[in-house]
Amino acid sequence: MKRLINSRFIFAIPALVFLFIFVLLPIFSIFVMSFFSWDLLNPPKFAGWSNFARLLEDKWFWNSIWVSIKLLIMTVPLCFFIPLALAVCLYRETTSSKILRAFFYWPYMMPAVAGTTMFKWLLSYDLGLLNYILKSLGFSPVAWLLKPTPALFAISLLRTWGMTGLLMMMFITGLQSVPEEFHEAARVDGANRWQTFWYVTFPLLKNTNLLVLTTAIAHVFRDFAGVYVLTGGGPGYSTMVTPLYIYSTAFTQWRIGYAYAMSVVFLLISFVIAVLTLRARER
Amino acid sequence: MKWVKWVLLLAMLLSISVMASKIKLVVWCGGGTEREGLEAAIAEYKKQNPDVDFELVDVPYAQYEQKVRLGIMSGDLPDLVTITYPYAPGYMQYMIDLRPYIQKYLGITPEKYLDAMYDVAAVRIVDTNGEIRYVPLHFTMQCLWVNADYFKKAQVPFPPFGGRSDPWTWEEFVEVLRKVKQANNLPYAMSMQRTAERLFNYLGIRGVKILDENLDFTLDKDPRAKKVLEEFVNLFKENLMVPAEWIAAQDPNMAFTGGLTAVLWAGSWSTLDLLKAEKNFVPAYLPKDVEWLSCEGGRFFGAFKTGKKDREEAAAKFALWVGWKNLGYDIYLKKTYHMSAYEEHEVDYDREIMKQVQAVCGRLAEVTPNWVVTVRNSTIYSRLQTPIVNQISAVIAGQISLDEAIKNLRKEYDKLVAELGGKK
Amino acid sequence: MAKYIKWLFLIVMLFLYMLPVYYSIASSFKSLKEIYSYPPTIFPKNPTLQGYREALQKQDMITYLRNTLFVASIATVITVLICVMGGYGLAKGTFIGKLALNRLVVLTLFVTAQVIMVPLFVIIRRLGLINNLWGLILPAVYTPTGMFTAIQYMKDIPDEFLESAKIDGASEWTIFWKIVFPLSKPLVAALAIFSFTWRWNDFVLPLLVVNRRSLYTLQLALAVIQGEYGGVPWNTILAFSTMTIIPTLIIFLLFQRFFMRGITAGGLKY
Repeated sequence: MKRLINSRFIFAIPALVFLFIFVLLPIFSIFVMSFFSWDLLNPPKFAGWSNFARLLEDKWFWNSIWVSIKLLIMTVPLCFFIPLALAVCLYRETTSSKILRAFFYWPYMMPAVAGTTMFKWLLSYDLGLLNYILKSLGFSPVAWLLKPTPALFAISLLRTWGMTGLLMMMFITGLQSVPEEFHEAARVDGANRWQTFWYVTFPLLKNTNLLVLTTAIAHVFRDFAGVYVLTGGGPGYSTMVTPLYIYSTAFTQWRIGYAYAMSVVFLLISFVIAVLTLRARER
Repeated sequence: MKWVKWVLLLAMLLSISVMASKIKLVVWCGGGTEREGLEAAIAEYKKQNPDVDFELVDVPYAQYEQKVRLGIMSGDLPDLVTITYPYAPGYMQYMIDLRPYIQKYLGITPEKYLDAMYDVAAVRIVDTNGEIRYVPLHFTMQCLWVNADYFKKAQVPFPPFGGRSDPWTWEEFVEVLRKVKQANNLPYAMSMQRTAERLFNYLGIRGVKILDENLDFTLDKDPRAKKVLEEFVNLFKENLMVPAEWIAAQDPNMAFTGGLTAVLWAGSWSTLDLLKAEKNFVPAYLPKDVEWLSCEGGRFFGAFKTGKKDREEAAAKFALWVGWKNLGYDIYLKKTYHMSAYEEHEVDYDREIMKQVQAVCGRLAEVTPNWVVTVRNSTIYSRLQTPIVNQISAVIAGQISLDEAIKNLRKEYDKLVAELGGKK
Repeated sequence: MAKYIKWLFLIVMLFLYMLPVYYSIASSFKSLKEIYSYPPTIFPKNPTLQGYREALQKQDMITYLRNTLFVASIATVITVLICVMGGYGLAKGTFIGKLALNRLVVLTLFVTAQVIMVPLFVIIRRLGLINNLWGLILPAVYTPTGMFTAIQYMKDIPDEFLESAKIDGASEWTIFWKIVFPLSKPLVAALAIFSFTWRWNDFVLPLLVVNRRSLYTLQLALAVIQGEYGGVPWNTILAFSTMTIIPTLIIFLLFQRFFMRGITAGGLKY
């Protein structure tokens, strides 16, 4: 006797309630409230399309999107090849591998704010260790955090440092599922290690590669804590990524309705990235 | 044996009435040394007034406005509150008028009360109707701090305690910076925190007002404004000032205590922190150019209108006590190493340097005209502070031109006037 | 030859990756004079606990620690409960829209606090949970990733176990507690560890919800003192920072395999 709903469903209800209130409702209200203007003290006023009109003209918003793209271009290659290299070195289940893996994984476990603070301390232009090392080696000090490109690069490094653990483990899982026979076959055919890797193993990792790629993109695009603490969007607006710009519009200028409109765009882009990630995962 | 019952009943009634008449005042304050200062003052006050009890609640500086906003909306207000000067004008309407209590508890007229303090402090506590809404708690003035050892090595005197009594002109000052930097082989000359207040002070000294007395925006109208701002920006280009401080908001204490700069543009509040560095740091006059002035600041203490008469009176009594010289004020100042808001008020600090701070900053307080206070009191100025800092920081970072920055600020200004419905 | 390259590479990378951590910890033991001195020192010359004392007393770290512990523990308990129950209900239940709801969970995997910052704040405010530690707990107990993992795990439990119990006349409630829950120990452990770590590390949610200093969490306080008007010295900041990473480090060391294996459990990738 099949019932339409069996009582097991009840177990899911608490989770669904939270899902509704704290996930679905916000998403829904982003779309609705973007048509209003609001500053929290007075009731919201209907504003039609004006928020979106303002959005099209707001050069700082599009700047933030462009900054996010620049950041992605800088970070994703680092986030791909460095974890890959580490994974290749550490995918065998030896004790030393396991120990080293833990060291590289640790930054991923660290709270974002604490990790960023550590980076900030290293990057001080006059008193920081990094510039001191560079000067001692004969290079000129880098104007970390003082000029746009070094600042973006600093964020790139920070993100890569933070994400290596996760991505490295993804690669390791992938590498471990490639049967040894493939390597043997290629070796027998006379290929050396380098060729074996790039022409045999790497293509076999297609799924993992996609997964790593999309995960990296998703994390970099959403990053808030790192940028907030490291640069606060500066110098000027050169590292003002979109979530940071939305935050400052909503909570320092109190232009809530407009912030909703920006959130619409941000949400849609995040959604697209998420769908791509899911496709990669399903493979 | 019946009388035992009566005695017990009487004792009960007495204790209930004592408890009932024991008023508990809720105080919102900033944490850290301010809280310690208040606690010390309260301890003394309770000895003299055992029928009053206190509860101190911490409110962080950055969250102040929102908390008070929410408190006003929900009616959940404390009896007393310390309030930093930017927020003080906006909340005056919610504070009780202290004038009736001044005669009663301090034994002087309100006029005498205001006369006893520096003009710039008095302006801060009086509202447009002449009502006195706050007492000064700690009062601050911007001033320079110099690394006396560096100046000695460069053989450059500094005012007033370094062999020169008159302040420098701006031109002299820049030369001094160059000389001290070179003589000590420093990477930079002066540290300054990235705030609109510092910039306002600099511009004011050079004769440029961001907002004039009518609260009109002047940076695009004043023919000197652009040049004066350019000179400011050039200080960074010449490495006389520290780019990291205005581009990446680096803490100016870092470079100054680290010995990378010889001068710190800060104020009377820096004393405690600078003492910790154990270096030969001495306060000095700000330069005098077109004008000689300094920006005051600090925290004030006020009592909210709660509608409960006896609590309001108890709150007013305490506020006046803690804010008046030679009463609670001295206890507070000694604990917090702040300067006094009262002219010719000798506080018995346990550190020599505070005398110098009081001398330097007191003089600066005397010479500062009132418009410095009234302009900065306005809502427009307080809302413009962040855009000003962001724009100038972007100029120093080479991201936008000065013309663009001024244009952007004009746009912000116009938007604000429209939003606020006038120049307030 | 290749072996030497590999080890050289690993050592260089290890050095680079651990440098920020080492240097921060070393610097946290410097005195105020030393920390701003130039050239920077790799080992503190006169190690001192000045920074730690300031962080604990002046910067009120104990309060923040209490808050963070409270939030993290309670949120973990609730998260485990609703995710395990929810995973069970969504994986093993029969109802209209089962497929749709499962899809919905997957679809909302990307919705983290940063994405819905503004409405999340508004909703929390409406619920009266601003400046309330529960405002840091309740919005965070539903984690898309946790839910997804739970569903995947539950799917793997063979239906026969449940059917045979049902034939024996057990009620749904008993089935859950006597059979499913004990079988879910790995899931519970993983969820508990991840949830505690996530809540400990949370930044965006506290930034939105809490502005009363006495309610700050550790990470929020660490961020705030860096922007402080008064200028908190770096030895204090780094001491603070070092202390905040200790608990997650301990958890990591004890439960390494959960974190690193988490990937293969099929879901904990966000």
